[in-house]
Amino acid sequence: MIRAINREGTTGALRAGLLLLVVLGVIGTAGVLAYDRHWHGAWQLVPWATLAGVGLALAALFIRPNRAVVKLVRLLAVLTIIAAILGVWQHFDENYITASLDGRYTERWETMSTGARLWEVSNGSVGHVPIPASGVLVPIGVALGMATIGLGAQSNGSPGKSKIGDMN
Amino acid sequence: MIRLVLGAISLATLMAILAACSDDSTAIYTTPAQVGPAPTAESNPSSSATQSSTPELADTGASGVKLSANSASRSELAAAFEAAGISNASKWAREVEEYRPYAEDDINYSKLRGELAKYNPAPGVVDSIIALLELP
Repeated sequence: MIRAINREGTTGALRAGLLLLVVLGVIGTAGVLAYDRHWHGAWQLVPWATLAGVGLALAALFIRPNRAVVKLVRLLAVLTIIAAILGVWQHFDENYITASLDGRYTERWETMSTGARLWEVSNGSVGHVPIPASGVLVPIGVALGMATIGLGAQSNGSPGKSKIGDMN
Repeated sequence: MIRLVLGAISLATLMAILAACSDDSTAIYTTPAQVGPAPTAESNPSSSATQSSTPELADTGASGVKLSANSASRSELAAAFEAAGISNASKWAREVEEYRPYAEDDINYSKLRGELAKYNPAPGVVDSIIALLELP
């Protein structure tokens, strides 16, 4: 894989940069999750599983970047983005459910309209869970997916297409 | 690739809707969980007050018996909180259960206090909850 990156010139540099972003994203996100002790319950383990999947994808890509692996990596990239979306939803849901625990809302939450509740949760007025935090997984998934562009393609004579055999 | 992403987003939306529909806690959306009067304890929940600072609500428990913070079931906790007049009893029970386990030597329940304080509860609520708990 590293030799292939070297042979690809500018494309290889961009691919290496994307993979570096993925690695840094995984390390940074894992650090934040650990700092926040993000392991209370099954839902909170989803980002850990996602990061583990991305880590495995990276390893597989470096060790054996054949067509099957590239497909698997792309699938994992998509799953990472799905996990990010589910995380944003889950964070929103958590803040909505627990909003009435906030002393400022305990008495009036049930009397508020649905729209007003959604607005209060959406703008961060109530709830301690950072709603968009899971979005950090989106660029990780996108970078991972984009790093596979041109990999695993069949040789068709097109310029810029890397052959599977060139990868290792 | 674009089709894959669009498909993934559609699938995620569908899963989120299904998750919301199947989540037990969503019943809270439409069912008022206000139970009894609001707590009257005067202490600040973010302070390091001990159990002895909130004896009033603890004494209003149905049985007067404290529940284990580590092993009591959610329904037991909710029943005790409700009997003590704590609003949103079932939600607080869920939170107590979520952040287990609590160290036996944490006699001031600093971990639990810290977790519950994140919700910005009304003054006295956290003390009222902790007054009903014991360790282990």
